Amino acid sequence: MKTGGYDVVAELNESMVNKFLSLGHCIGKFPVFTGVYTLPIEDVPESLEEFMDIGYEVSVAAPPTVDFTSDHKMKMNIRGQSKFTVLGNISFELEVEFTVKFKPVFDQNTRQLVLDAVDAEIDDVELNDTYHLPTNVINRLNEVMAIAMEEYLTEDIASIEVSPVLLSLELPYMPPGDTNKLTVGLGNVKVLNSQVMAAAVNLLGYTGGDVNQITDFTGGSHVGVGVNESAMHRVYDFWWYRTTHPKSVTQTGSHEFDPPDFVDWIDELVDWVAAVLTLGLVDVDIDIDRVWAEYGATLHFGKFDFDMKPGNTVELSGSVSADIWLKVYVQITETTELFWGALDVSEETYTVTLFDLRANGLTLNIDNAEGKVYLDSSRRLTVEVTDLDLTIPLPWAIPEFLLDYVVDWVVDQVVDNMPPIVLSPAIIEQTLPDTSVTVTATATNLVIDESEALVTANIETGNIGSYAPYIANKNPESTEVHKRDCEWAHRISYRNRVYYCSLEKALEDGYDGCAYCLPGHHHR
Amino acid sequence: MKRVKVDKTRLERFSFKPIKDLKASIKKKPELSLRLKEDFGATLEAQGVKVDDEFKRSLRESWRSQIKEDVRRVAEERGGDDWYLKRVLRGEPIRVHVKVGPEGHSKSLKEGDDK
Repeated sequence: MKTGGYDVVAELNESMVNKFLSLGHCIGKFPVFTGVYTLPIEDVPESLEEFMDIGYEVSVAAPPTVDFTSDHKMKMNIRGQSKFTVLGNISFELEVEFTVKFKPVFDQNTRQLVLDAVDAEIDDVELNDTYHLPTNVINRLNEVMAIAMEEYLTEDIASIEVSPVLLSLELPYMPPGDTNKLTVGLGNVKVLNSQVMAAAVNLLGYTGGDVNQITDFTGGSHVGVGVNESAMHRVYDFWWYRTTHPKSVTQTGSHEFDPPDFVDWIDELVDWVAAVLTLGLVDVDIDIDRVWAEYGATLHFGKFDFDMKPGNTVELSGSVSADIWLKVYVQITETTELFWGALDVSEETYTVTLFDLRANGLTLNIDNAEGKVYLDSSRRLTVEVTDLDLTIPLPWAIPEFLLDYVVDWVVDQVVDNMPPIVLSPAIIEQTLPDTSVTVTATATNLVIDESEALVTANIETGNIGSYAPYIANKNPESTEVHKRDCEWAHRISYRNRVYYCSLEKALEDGYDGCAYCLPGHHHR
Repeated sequence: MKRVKVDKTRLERFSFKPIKDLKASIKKKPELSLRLKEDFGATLEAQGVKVDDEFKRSLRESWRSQIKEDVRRVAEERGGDDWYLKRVLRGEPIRVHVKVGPEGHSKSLKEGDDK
């Protein structure tokens, strides 16, 4: 069991974590940090006190990246551009690189994996000393950067989201209110190997699971989500007893039968109509004009039992309580020696009610049903029933053209009105909290075995236009890239705008830097 | 659509006690047939047949029983594949195997029930 007995396990590939860090960088989650460090030197004359201050300003120049480490943590590399101000007004710039170890955690409120910046450990700070400063100065500046980074992580960042919202709390067709949402309890988070980490959670108060039993099932995709069968049963039960989806339906229909349908029964039909019309007393000539049926059924669906099987299949059984009715009419246009008025004969239309049947409280059993588990358009695990045996204890001895028709109709109603079998909440929500960024999950694989369903998907993000720091102009007459706040960027027509989180990517794509806002990258 | 002359002898199988007596009376007194044509209800009543709810219920049951017999007879005469009907006539529930598809559902008798 790859999910280690937890209800839901979400596994994230390192590349996806980096993708989300890059997104976070793009949408401004790593702001510039500034501060002043005062050298801890005692008895400094008042006139020299201002020379004890080292001002710093660090901008995170490129999206941070992470490496998963063997001690189940994540090592993040943050590259920045630092600007120091010393001796009152002397400034110089150095590149700085931080290595910070984070413990990944699952945020129960947002259902995202986050890196807890408050408990982060700064592993290394390295300034790129292009000025050949003395070692003790560099060491001191490194200390300043370490203190600054600690403050930055604790106060400015606090936590860094590195995943989409992994699962929804909402199920379809539920009444409003928090009591009708799933509750998620944290199981555990673990870095499984150098490429994949896992977050295990439980639903609806369940507390089982062993993190050491979780194994990598991502198969190289960005994300994998595994749902245990016992969780599916719990989710389905929770849904079934609360859902507003109708469990009872009443359907009606009517059908006109053509002569070929009842040609084998024509004599009998005529005899029966004649018997009804005349009490069987005399000869009649009957001209049958129409034979039609009006029918209906009220179906009360019970909860299904299901059992996962290998090969993405599920076995199902259940029952439906049914009231079924059928009225069959024969209309005649002319009769001779008609002794009318005895039984259900309409004077105007000469319509005879040949059958008026009703069967209440029938139990229709659904056995040997099979279904396929699939991820629906809302990314929920759902069952699509493919085969079933339906037993209908209908006692009506009527011509088979009527019986076949009404039984087939009832079968269609049972199949078509079957309530859905909801096995999980939506996996991977399509929005990110507090942003307008969209998330698209494309399933790459779905594997069911007898105890769990494992879905893998690749993730793409979109709608970053409101955040992207660079805007390129794809008009062939321009093909320049600008900083977002460049006045030339604002002149680009919307249809020609291409948004970039990174300048490097824009340059890679062939755009030239704007002469005004990116002169260092302007080459034409 | 289709005009069919009903043979009175065929209707004799609809045996219902009050009607049986009436038929005997018509045989003895053919003018009863004309009177029935002129005023069906009153003539029946004069012959001691009261067409009330109880009469109709009992007639319906009798007719239904006859129709059931007819259905069984026709099914037996035709043999072949009377699908659901055979099971109903044997007093067994109908069992259908359904393959569910987006374009509709294909139905067949549950395996082993098509004998």
